Amino acid sequence: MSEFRLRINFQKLGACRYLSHLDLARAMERCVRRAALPYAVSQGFSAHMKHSFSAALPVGTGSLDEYMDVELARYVPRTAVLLALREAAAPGLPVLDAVYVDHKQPALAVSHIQASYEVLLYDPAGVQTTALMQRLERAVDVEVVKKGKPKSYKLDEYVYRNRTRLLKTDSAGLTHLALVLRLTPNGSLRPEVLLKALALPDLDMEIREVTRVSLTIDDSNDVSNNTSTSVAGSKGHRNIDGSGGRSNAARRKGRDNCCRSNDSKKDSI
Amino acid sequence: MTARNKDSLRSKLSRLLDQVEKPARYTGGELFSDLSSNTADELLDVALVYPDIYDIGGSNQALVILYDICLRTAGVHVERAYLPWIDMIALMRHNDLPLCTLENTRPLASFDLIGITLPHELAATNILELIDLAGIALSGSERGEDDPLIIGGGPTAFNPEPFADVFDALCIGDGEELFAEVLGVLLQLKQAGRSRAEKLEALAALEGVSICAFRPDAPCELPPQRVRKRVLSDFAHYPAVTRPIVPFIETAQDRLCVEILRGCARGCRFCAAGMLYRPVRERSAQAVVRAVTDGLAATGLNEASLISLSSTDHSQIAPIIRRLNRRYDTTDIKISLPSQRLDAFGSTMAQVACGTQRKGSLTFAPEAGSQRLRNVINKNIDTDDIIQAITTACAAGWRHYKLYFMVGLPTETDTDIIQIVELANLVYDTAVSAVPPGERGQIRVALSCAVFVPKAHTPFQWCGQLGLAEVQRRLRLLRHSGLHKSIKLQWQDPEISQIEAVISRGDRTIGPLIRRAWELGARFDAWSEQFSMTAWRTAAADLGLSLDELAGREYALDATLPWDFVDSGLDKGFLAEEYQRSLTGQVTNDCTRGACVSCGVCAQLDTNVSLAASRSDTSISTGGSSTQIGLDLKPVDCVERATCV
Ligand code: SF4
Repeated sequence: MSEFRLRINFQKLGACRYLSHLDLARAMERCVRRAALPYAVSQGFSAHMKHSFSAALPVGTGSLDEYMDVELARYVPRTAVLLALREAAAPGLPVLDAVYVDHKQPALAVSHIQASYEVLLYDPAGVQTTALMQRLERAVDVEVVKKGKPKSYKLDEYVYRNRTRLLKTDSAGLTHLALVLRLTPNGSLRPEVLLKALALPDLDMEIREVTRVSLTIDDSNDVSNNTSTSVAGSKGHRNIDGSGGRSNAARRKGRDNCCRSNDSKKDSI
Repeated sequence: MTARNKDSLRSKLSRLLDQVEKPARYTGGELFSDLSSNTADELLDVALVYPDIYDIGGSNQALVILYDICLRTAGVHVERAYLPWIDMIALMRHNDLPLCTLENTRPLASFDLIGITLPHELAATNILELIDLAGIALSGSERGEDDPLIIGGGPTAFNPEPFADVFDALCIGDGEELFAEVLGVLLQLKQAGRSRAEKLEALAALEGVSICAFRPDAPCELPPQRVRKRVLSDFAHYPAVTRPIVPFIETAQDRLCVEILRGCARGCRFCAAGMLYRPVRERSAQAVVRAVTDGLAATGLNEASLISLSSTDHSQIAPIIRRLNRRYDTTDIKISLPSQRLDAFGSTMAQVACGTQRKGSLTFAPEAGSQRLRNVINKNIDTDDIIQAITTACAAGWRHYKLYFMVGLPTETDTDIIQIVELANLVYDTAVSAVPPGERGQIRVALSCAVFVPKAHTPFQWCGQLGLAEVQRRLRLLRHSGLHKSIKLQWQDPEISQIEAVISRGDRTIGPLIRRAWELGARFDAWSEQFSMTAWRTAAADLGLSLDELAGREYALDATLPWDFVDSGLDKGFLAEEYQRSLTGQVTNDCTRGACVSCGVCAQLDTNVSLAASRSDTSISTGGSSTQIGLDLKPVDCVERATCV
């Protein structure tokens, strides 16, 4: 039986950033069921929806650009799918887009992914951030303790260093930092883990919020040579949905429009 | 409260989220929760609270129903709150932050009405914890005009005395109509600018409301006015909630719950729920199927559970399951039953009903090891029923079994204890021989024992609980009576059961005991790793009380009981006769399958048993073993045991 792979682009906003990956997956499954899409079901002892997700986000990290692949047993026009999904979406998990992708495209979990993050640091004087930026530029590797064991990460393999940017310092004294990391099927660094490791032992900074801003597939296999500054469309990169994609500004706009609980509830408990 | 204040409270609380386990417990925003702020025409602010963490209470059916009623009542604005877990409580206290609602992060103290459900006795200290965390006076008498009214309800409210000081009012019985009336009265009086005392007086006039401050506080003295339980007679046509809030995180009932019937007339003599939710009322097959399909479509959940005290007793359970299974046959959606009686069910239906989740374990609750003792408690099953049920379940693919028993039932002897072991061994042997030789290794039998807790409004309300030392001796005997070594034995902490017993039949002296235990650090008493017997022992000593005596207290049949002023509809003479029949092992039949046994409920409360069809066509006269499917996450077994017979 032929199946149709639908790639759903959605967001994890506001209080929803505290959901675990498992909670998020369950919530999106329910969204697909509410949308009454003809999703394919695995055969066997306990039937379940056939789907996969882009790289798991840690509890506490929000996202403006997440993906879920779900197999449909029957073709439904994209506009109808999108309409149904948008209507069915839970508050805090708005659906932006849905496109059919070829089965030949790599699965979400096995691709090398370029992930852009925006990190909010509480650093009113700005001193800590400057020092941190310098370390980010110069450090060769960082040591991270994982499951009790120290593990060393070469920054050149995991960080697109040229693309690190200080975006702004807002009126609340929060410094906005743009960080682009590389997620590989074999491992990746989380932004807060990287920053905390770099801050050791003397920098004292408080990470207030981490948001994944965009995900793109990176075929270049080489982080250090990559000097591109545009998120989508540059050589070696393509958008995950294979389409023209939307800019980050559009995503941010989407966030404001799609969900009433966002924005004003960003800090809600 | 100004918008600014609210925002700073919200951001202060959210600052704590990175420091606690499972922050999503505190963030709300779920599908179908009402995230709007209260509008100008919403006059009455209601906060519904469950006295345990979100993981347990997030899917509580009482809250689901009451929330839905609030949403449907014009002029009412509703939000929810749950007790935070200890890590969050510590941080909130350290930062001087009050307990707030999920929807709009509003302090509980800013609401007009706080409704707290009392799911079981062991929630008593949690109730104090949450009221204190909200910054509200613990005693009703200390609350002023600006404080919320705190109203309780639920099964544990049927003995109001231990809670008299804490609650301003308690609602007795089915909440659907009563809660709507409470809302109506308070809306009207708030609009008219009436005082707190006037509001309480008006609530007192409603049938089913007990106003704690209006009762004389001499313990064990019959107050002049009885409070009569409310019954939702037309349960059959009362709409089931098909758009319940859908929690993001996993909760106790991680599925759509559709209550297919209310009440149980099997008449187990230890079971408070069976006595208190009479008479039996069923929803029609059509209504059930519609509620399931509408609810699943609206929520996107992948499981619907047909809940009740004894779902397989529903007169149309077979057609209901057949229709639903046909509907969801090729999907990833499961239909499950929380409690079944396989004897009533037959092998074909066992196959159908169980087919979806054979990976879990089936739970049987014979409750007592010997036929004699099962007759005493009116658990009308015999060994043949159990063997038959196990064989049927094995054939349908089940491999894991849990057996529930009680220790310390009235008239229990050492022989009865030994027969628990014999019965468990028999179940194991039956299961092993009922499956193909290659699958024998897959058979698992777990034996779970709890100490009997006598409950108010049951035929055993006059009986004391066995003392701790004797309970320990009997548990030792159980351990050393030749239980098959592959059977896993667990028991519920007898000390926790003792506290449950102290509260379940407590009088007004128990309120101060609960308060003292809480002051000494007792909370989350239903969570065995949180429970502190030291706190309770010290509290009892401080007040000159003895826990052993309180739990073991026996009443004469003609004594006035602390809960006598609550009219559950049950005739006290019926309960006394049931008690006497129990002593001679005489069983009493189920009025939904035979003649009325004159428990008193129908006449006293002007209501009737209402079945969707006749139950007589199922061969049931011998009774049978009951089972639970899809065991739930819960702090300790005892919490739901009373309703899982
Ligand atoms: S009064 Fe009779 S029919 Fe009604 S619940 Fe009691 S025993 Fe059953």
